[in-house]
Amino acid sequence: MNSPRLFRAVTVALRGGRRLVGPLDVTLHPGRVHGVVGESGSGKTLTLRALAGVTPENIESSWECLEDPAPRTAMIFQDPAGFFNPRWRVERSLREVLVHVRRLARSHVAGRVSELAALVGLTGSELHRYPFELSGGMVQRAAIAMALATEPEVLLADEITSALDPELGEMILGLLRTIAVDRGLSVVLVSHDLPLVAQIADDVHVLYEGRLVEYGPPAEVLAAPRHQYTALLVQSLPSRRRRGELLPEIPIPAEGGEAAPEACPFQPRCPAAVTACAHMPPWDDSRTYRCHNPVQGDGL
Amino acid sequence: MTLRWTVSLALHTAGVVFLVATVSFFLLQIVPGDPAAVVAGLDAAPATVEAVRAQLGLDVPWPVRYVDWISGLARGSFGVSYVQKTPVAELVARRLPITAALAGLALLFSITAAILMALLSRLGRAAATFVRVMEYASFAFPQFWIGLLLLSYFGLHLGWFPVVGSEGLQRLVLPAVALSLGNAAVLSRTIRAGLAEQLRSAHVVAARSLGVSRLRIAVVHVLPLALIPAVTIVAIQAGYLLAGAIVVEQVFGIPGLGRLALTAIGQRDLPVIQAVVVVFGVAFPLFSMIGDVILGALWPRLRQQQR
Repeated sequence: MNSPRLFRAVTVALRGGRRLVGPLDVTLHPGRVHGVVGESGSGKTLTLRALAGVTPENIESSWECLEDPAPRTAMIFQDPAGFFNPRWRVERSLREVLVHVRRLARSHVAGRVSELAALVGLTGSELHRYPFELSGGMVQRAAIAMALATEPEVLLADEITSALDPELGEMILGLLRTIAVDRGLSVVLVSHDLPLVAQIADDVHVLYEGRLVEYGPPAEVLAAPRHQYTALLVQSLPSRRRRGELLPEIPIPAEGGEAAPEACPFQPRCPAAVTACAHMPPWDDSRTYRCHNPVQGDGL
Repeated sequence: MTLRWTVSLALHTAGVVFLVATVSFFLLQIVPGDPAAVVAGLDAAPATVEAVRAQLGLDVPWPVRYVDWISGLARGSFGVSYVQKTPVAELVARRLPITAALAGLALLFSITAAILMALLSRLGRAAATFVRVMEYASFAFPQFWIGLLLLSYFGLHLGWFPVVGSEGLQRLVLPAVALSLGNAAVLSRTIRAGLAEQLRSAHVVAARSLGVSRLRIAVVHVLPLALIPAVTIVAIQAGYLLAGAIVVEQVFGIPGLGRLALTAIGQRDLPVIQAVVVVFGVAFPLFSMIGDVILGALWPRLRQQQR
């Protein structure tokens, strides 16, 4: 029950073409929220979709899992209203998952629908509405209920608060965290909102160009980053401490300035790149970042 | 279906009937040809023609005839046929069920064929190309030519369907196929586009991620939503199918409304022509409203907007 869920060599590539993500080894712990951050195009969403088995048509993905069967995954998307069949009331969508995915006996369905609704804080009248009749927060709660209806072991949450105001976003993530802890779920939370990830997640993984460059507890990774990319990403956030200062920019590489496959993917943009960056340092137990010239001292 | 919707349908239909009746009346006044001369016969003396004109009421000024025609319509009367001397309403009532059955069957064929073609197109590249070619062919060939081809092969050569005479639905099968092909192609393209759009949509990706089976996603989630754009087209096509029956009824010798209209045009039988035009005209708002009801059933958001 408490053993970690391991997904080995998670790889995503254009069909018959360039590799976009990985290979990544993903270790997920029951009852924990794992944050994934990185700029747009870093492969966060593709990684989640690979784990959920729903990559777009032109993209192929693969991973290995030592567990048999592999842990059940469920994904919650950025646009919660898009999650639902627009012809159906929320309750019918929930019933479909319970009857046709979980194969629950019809006599148990109504009770289970009520349980799920209570778990995420939906009332009976909200269950009987169409998704487009619900507020953003309510529809996101309904989406969480849908995902939970499949009784997943791993919940993949892709930017689920980006369409909500900060307070509501915090509330939804708080709910997700409580559910994760109570039910031993592993949650993978992808977000651009670094402070929110720092607040909710147990650990943070920084992706760049589909590769993991740094990971660790939020207090370490986001407060004292070691990889040059993580440091620049964190410095790009507006901060009260640096009021009046210009935000630093991460330089854009010259055209064709892509890193060699074995090199650090951030090398072409890195202001602190050294010759050794032509080969990415391997992971070992002593470090939580892959950088030859890490940020020194306390960082930020 | 609310009271507001029913009243709106009634007012809409009444407006269209009035407009179509008015336009058809005035257009027929300026069309060359003298109905009295046609009814009196080619060799009739001018005095006979005048007598017939008076008998048909054509010697009365047109504004008076127009008021008569419109007030008659309001009472549900289409007048009396110049040639057959029977109430036009009776003629229409006798022919309308035949044309309606033909158009209904054609609609059924075109919807079924379009859904099957659109689903077939998703089975692979070769299937998609086959469907596209079939669509182009259906667009390209005129109905009367397809009708003749069907008649000669399935009617004369194989003898599966009656060529002339006979009653019942069996005689309507070939003409309905001829009538449906063009429409099936338009519908198939629309449903194909709808399927492609829906298969990419977020809720389909979500259903896949939740573990809903591919077959269930295709049939229960995707197809009804892919049919939504097609419903509006079907509603318009239904009106055109009634009117389009004119040519096909002629080719297959079916005594429907289209054939009645064509004969009436040749005989300058104005009340019959006007009546047929009004019936075809009423069909469009009626089918459009039925289409709205079906759309509302398929798409709750629209139903909410309709309230």
